[in-house]
Amino acid sequence: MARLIMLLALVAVVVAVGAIAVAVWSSGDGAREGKLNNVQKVAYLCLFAVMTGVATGFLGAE
Amino acid sequence: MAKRYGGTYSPTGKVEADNVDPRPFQAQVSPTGARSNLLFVPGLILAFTSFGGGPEALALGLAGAGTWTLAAWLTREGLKAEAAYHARKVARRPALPRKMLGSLLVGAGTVLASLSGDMGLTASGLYAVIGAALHMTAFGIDPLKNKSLEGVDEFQQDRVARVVDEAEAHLQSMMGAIRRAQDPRLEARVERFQQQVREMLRTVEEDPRDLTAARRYLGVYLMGARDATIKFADIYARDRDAGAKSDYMMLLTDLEENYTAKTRKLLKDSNSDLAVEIDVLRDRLQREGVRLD
Repeated sequence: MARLIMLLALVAVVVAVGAIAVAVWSSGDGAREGKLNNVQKVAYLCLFAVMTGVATGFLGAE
Repeated sequence: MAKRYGGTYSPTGKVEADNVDPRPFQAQVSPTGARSNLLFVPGLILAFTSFGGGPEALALGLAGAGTWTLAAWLTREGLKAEAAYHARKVARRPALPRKMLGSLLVGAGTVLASLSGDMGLTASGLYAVIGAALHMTAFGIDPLKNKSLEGVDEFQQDRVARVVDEAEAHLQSMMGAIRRAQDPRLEARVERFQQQVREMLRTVEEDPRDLTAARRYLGVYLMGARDATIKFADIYARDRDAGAKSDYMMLLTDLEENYTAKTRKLLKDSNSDLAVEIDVLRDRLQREGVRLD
């Protein structure tokens, strides 16, 4: 259980730092024109898949 | 009810289009687009799938769906606020960081959605972190700094920002009113006029000294244009009065010409200021014995 919580915290930190870095890096000219760059496009598709997967029960605990 | 489309080259649209070009100067792309609208879909799916899993699952599922919907709405508003921030030369940062709040709410909604599907806390937490991080990556963070021009007094910039905010509010209510008339040509005509007004706004933002000269244009005249638009929209929506439409189009043309002339004058004044500064610098350099020629 302790290992799982450690894993969770580690994933949280890594993912959050990565997300902030990409978000800051992406706020260039493309963002001003309202366009998504390739990283943002992939992130958007993954986000939609995660949300839909959780909502439909497709993504489970295991 | 369906409406027949009549453009410039349609058989019925040509006569009306002869006098005035109703096209806007430049097409404006909506900052929100399909990407933020699609975010409302998972919330709907979750609301439907939470039925049939018992009262606890239903409560958690509906709470999650509500949180996701709120997150999608905040993201949409955040994108609009960001576009408005980038469109201006002098702007305050958004008071509420809506996109970042949207990321947090996506995470919170994911926890609730996962718990409604009998997942453990650990798995729910992981999905929440992943969801929030993906949202932040996809939509970025809100502007966190005020935007100002270098070398211009902050007090003056605040004054300009206030006037610009008021002018934008007038423009928005004008657009809202003309939409009630349900005539795409009129909407395009008003949009074209608004682009001219926004050009004046950008000119004043660049040189706040122009504010005094442009104040009536950005306040009283714009308010008058808004009131006229509201009255016209009510009349036109009621009985499609061609006379009222013609009068209104004439008013817009007159206003647009006046705004264009005033903006040109403001720009010319700025050019004169530059010429004076160049002359002063030349004189000083000549006194020092430096020749520019």
